[in-house]
Amino acid sequence: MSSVGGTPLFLLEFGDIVMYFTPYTTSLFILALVFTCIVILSRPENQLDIIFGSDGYYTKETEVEELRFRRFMSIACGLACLGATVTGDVFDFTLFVSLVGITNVGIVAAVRSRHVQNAAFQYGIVALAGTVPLFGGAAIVAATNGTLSMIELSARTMSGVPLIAKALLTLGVMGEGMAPFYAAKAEMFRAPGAPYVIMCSLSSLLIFLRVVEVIITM
Amino acid sequence: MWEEYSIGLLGVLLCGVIAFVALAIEKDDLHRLLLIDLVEIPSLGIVALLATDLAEALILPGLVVGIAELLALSQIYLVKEGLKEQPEGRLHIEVIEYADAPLILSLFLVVYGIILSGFTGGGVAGLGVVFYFMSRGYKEDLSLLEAAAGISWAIWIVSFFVFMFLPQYWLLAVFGAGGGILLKVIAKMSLVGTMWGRSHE
Amino acid sequence: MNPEFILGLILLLIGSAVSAFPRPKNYLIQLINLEIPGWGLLLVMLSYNEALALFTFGGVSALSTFILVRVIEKRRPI
Repeated sequence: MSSVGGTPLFLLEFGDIVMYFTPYTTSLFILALVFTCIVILSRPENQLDIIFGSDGYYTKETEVEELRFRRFMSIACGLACLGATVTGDVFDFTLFVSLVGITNVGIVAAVRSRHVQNAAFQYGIVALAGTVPLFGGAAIVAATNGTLSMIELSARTMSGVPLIAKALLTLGVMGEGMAPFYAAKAEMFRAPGAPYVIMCSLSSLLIFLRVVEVIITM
Repeated sequence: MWEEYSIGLLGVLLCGVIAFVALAIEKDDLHRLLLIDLVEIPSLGIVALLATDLAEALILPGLVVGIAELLALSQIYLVKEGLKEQPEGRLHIEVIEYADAPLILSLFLVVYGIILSGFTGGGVAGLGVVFYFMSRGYKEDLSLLEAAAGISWAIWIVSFFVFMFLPQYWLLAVFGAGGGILLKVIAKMSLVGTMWGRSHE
Repeated sequence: MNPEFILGLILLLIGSAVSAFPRPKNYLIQLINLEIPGWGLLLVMLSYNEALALFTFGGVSALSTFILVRVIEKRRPI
């Protein structure tokens, strides 16, 4: 199998679902892994407040206990990214992308600010609407080709996957995670709680990079 | 003219377009939430048109994802609007609150569900437990049930690994999987039932 | 093209139109109208003999109606 990311260095099989590690997907995988480890090991940032009219500042230390739920959601998002970046099955990919959407909502859901919760709700609506073209695209791929395995789909000389399926998949991933496309996701960043909130941004970057490779390979 | 699949696809996609147009012009948040439930249906419809066993295997995770998002979004909506503390209006129906009928019905459903076992059995038994909690309220601490459900879910996953890597022990894996998923679904559905029953004294 | 399939598609289309634009426009009417496309989908699944998907969709649909009724009740107590 030759994908646009190179030849697979390693194939991990779970029955029908084969995870393939080409140089491209391996680098995405390592990036997700490193950031998940950073989230597990780091302590939350201290909130800084500048004293008005002088150079002084005071910090408020936040313990890990307060942000436990957010940390758990960040780790779950990281694990979902790990799965999404290496899987070789189209439907498995859509499931991981939907999981990324849900965990992104979960990361900011515990914040008390009304503005952030509003933004999280709007993002959640769009993420849920984004799962529709995702599942539709995967189903059309299965219906026209009889297989969902990317390795088998790339082995054919002429691509049998219709353009509409690829377009629906891209539309779905854009709905799940592309921050520039709508402001609600950007507004979610006003939530305090780095480094957990940064996982939102990293996850959307990773799934976008992966979906480009999937579309070109199929 | 066209074949069955094309007509079905056209119908389901038209459905989706109608729902998305309504979602785009809607301004109220709760209406949007209800419309999200509507757009799940065309997405499952496209998968169901596949008409093979694979379609069933694909619909189940799709449903799980849909219900998980709906749960999360409804919770955020309640927190956002500040509605968490509102008491829910209840009807006072004597035959549900004081007579023996709900107990007998729930018992029957639970026993039938355990006999069926597997996912369907879990659903039926869970429905019985939900009905009991809804009618009578609950006073016990549910943490033991939750712990048992977690362990049984782990048993279910281990059974599937046995299916994949040690197929000679398939009978053990079948029992493990059926019993595990039964207990897990009962616990989850009883948790939903406690949302509606009268809360702890 | 058996009758269940055609009936299911018709219900799906009518139900989506009615549920997307409910008249009069309140939450309860829209929630009740959500059952109609659900029935259409169940008929489509029936015509393809997808029994497991049918049962699970019925169960999950009941669950989601549960959740939505809870939200609506809290919004406007009866």
